[in-house]
Amino acid sequence: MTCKRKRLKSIDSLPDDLLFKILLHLPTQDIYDKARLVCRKWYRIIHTHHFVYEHLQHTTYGLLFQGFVENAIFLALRQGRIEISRYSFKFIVPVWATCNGLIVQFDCHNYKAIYITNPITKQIFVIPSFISIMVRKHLCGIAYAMASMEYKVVVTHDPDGVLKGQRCAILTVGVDKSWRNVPTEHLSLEARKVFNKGPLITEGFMHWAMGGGVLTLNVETETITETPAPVPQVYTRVQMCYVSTGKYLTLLIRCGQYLWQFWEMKPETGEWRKLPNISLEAQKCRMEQLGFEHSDTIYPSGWLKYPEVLTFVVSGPDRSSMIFCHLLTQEIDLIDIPNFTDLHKVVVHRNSLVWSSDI
Amino acid sequence: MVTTDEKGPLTAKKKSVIIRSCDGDEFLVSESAAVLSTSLKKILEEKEDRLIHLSDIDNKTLAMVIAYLSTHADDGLSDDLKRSFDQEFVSGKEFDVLKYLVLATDTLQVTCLCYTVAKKMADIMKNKLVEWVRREFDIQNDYTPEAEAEIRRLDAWAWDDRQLEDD
Repeated sequence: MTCKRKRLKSIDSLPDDLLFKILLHLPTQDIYDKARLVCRKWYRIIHTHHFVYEHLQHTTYGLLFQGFVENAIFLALRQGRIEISRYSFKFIVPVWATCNGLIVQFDCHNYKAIYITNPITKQIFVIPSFISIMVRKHLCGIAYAMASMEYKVVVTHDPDGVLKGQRCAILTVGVDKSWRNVPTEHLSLEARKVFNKGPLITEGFMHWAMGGGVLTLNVETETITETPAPVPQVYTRVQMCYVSTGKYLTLLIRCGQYLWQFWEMKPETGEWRKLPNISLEAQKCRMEQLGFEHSDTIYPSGWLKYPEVLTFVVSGPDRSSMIFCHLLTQEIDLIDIPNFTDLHKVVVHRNSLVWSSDI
Repeated sequence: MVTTDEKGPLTAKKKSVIIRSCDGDEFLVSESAAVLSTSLKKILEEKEDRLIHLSDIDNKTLAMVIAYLSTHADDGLSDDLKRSFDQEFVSGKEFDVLKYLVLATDTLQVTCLCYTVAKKMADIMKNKLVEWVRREFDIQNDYTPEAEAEIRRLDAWAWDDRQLEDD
């Protein structure tokens, strides 16, 4: 009987679909900077819509942290450890919301211009400008409609002044030449006030959340629904933090110095699910040892990895830090943030290879 | 993964098959382990023969795959134990060994193991330079120096393209 086993001289003699399966596990930055350059075959495998979106499915969410506007880092949990990588891309404005690794940026120096960028591939895609003096540069977001495979950019604005209510405009990237209005007449003026906030993105949805409720835009159907918070906000001073995990919207309600009620919302149904409270009581001593005081402000700012590691920002008069709380082990990690200001942003993000030709 | 014989008569569990590698070595494997491979399961469904000859898998690789299948077919082991077995299984293995293993698991359609091996292979490549990957894996660089420079140059110029469009 003859042995038909192929002699595999190099990894390159593996069939293309197996190479595809192996390359899928490489980090985004490695694929873009290195794997593409190895040989033409690898380049051909990587530069396909199929590979890019399969790779995205293999990529976990982490946090994009923007210190001073230009410089940003990406934080992710890999094998239980926090991994920090720096972007060589120069950001031009604060990043508020990202989708599939893509970021929308209003050019600070040229308000009419809006770009979609991918900080890994460093590509820029220019979209039709939104002409309204009432647009605040940060009130825009991008989301992906999976069924129609389209990216949509959304801007909220108040064309006739605050009294007549906020509006919401949408543009399908690569399709629309001009912006369309999303119907908002069914929403009360009060509810529409939330459009004043920057959007939160989950897969296929965009949310604006404040105190007592959430407005959710289904980017596929372009309809907005209103979901009240699971518990009414009794006092306006009760801290209610809405945080996107990438897939879900979570709500953290502060109910003690170091205690939060924890809720999760499925964007598809708008149903809230209560999860066990999150407590930092056990870390109180540790935090005091590290020099934090009772008067310091502390708030949840993002999920490093959902639902295992929650990130808090703590800031006092002299210092600010990000605290990563591992909910299962109750351990904490800490990164100091020098010169903390309101411009510092923590946004759920994942690095992708989505190029402008895929948009 | 669900083994098909769980609901069958008790005797079905005891059934075994013989798998022969391309170098002629034979392995006795329980049917419950064999059917964790989608390809073997199909072969067993189609023919009565209890001897399966795999002409493109060598004995060393086949022994590893069978060790994996047997462990995963063992109902007495917890999922946690199976998971740690998977980690142990790929750790410390040379790239050369993994290469044949990934091919065998793909042929036999052992999806979970194929995934674990592919991931391990990527982990070895992680953070390595382009030149390292080419050298270690014996890959011919078929780019002309100009073509390679062009790909690198396009990255550096991405931002400038935008400014050109602006004008």
